[in-house]
Amino acid sequence: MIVVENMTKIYKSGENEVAALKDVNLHIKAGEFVAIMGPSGSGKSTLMNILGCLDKPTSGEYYLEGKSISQLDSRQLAYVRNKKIGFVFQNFNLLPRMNALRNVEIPMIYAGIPPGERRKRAMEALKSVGLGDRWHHKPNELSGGQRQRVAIARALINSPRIILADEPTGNLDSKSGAEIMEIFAELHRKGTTIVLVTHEDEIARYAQRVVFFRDGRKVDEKSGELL
Amino acid sequence: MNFFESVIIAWESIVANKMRSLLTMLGIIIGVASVITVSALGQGGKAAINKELDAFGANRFEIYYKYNPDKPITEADAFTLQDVRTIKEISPAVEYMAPVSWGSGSIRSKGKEIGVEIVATTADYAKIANLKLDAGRFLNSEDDNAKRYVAVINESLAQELFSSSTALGKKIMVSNRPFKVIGVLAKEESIFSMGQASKLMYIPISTYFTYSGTNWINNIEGKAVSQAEVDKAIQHSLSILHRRHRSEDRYDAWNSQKEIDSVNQVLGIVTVVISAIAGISLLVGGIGIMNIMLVSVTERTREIGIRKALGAHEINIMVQFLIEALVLSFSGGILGLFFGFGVSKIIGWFIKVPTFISWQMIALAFTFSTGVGICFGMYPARKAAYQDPIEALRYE
Repeated sequence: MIVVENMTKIYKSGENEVAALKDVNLHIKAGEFVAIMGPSGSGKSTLMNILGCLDKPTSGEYYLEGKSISQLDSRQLAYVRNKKIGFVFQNFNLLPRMNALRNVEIPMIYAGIPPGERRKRAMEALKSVGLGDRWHHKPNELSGGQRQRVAIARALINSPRIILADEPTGNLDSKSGAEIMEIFAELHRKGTTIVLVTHEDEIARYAQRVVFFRDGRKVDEKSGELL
Repeated sequence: MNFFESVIIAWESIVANKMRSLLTMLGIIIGVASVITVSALGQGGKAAINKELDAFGANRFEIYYKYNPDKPITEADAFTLQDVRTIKEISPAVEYMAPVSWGSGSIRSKGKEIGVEIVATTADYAKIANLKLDAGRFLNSEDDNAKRYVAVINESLAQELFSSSTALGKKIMVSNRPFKVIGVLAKEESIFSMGQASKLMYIPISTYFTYSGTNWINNIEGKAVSQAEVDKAIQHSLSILHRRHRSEDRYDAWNSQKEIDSVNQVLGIVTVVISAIAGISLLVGGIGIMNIMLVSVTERTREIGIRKALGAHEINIMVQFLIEALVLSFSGGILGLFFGFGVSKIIGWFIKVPTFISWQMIALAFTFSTGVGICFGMYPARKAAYQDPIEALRYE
């Protein structure tokens, strides 16, 4: 499903070059639940951005479902982000002016789904994360856990094969965090590929496989159960 | 994502920042309102003045003595009744011709003296000056031949002496001579006659000559057969007069078309100048829109990042911001239209000028304001579209 080969990412800031990723190789199979751990500055966010087609590697290859991402133009990349990948962020990234329903609708707008069907599907998605009665609330009227559930509903709305979650529980209390992780576990059981960045052992334990990063390199791999 | 949805999203963003949006639109509102106001008053005024000059007498011309301090006008130069008849007979371009002598008199009424202007002329004058009668008839050739003491009075004088409907057939004593009222003119509606209208009476020129003891004709007025023949009618008249009086360069002519042309020219210049100012204000309005759109793009950097992460292409983002600029400028255009409509009505009411708003003007104002929206919205929209999504997501 995801194949990363000899990937290097170098950021230039003025004269200095900083290598955020150095010669990374990573294979993630369809339906796998992988956690990425590492201290800040280890390159895990850079890797997530590249996996999410928001950024391109300096060298190396990234194959998604067997297709090389470096060959795609901006329209095709937008399509991949829209249809194949669902993002979940640490800070939820909901649009503050819109209510929960409208937020969930956004990916469907860019997928060209007509308004009536969008509304219906967004409503179902909110019900499935237990927020059917909160559809008209704006993000600031919801708790952190509820916001993240809206964000998950939004990430799932175009039925992507892959969920990329960047510290999804980082801004949540442990109870809400556990609830969110239950949703991910359920998605995993249904066959969705999940890549999750975290630095909490309890969260990483939900994953089948944990990959450790340090200074832009993949340094270790463990089974989640061993944490 | 279709156009209609983009408009809704843009509208929500505009409504979310009501005050800011209104201030942004202000430039466009003022620009469009001033274009509409100026053109409404200009076109209305032009139509009114043209109508006025038309009422004054279309194809009308006037021949008068040329003023020259070195060569004063003498008896030999004076217009004669025969001059008038000859011109009308000879020139195919002249339809009507009438001599005019101006005099004054006084009428005693209700114990006070009323000054009255006397226009001594012939039957043709009514046709030339396009006079409209409320009652009775105008002077005719028998009145002139028989030197009758008859008068046609204007509405203002009729009101002063009698109630206008009962004036017909009454005798009035003008400088101790009895005149019978045979006609009353209709009231003149004119934007030029502000204040009190002068009191006029028209009498046969032969009658005037008889009692005043003079044969002096102040000027000759005529009407050409058509608009195109006015210049020819004037040329004919002047050459006939000079030949009959064996003189040169003693008479000159004036016609209403020149007046219409110069009024239109002045109005045209005024309209162009004020429209240019309005255009500048639209330009400033456009810059205002660009300014606010840039602020809006910066403020919503994060939103742009989120939308991109969720599958928005550059084009989607660009269209969204462009439509926002368009909705702003278009709404400004609509508000400006109503504003301009109201202001022109108010100003028109104060300066007594009718207003006229043409569809072309409305279309022009909208095209211009929408054009401003697109032109000045393009740069911020592009800036929004090509933002790096990672940078945008990180933006606080």
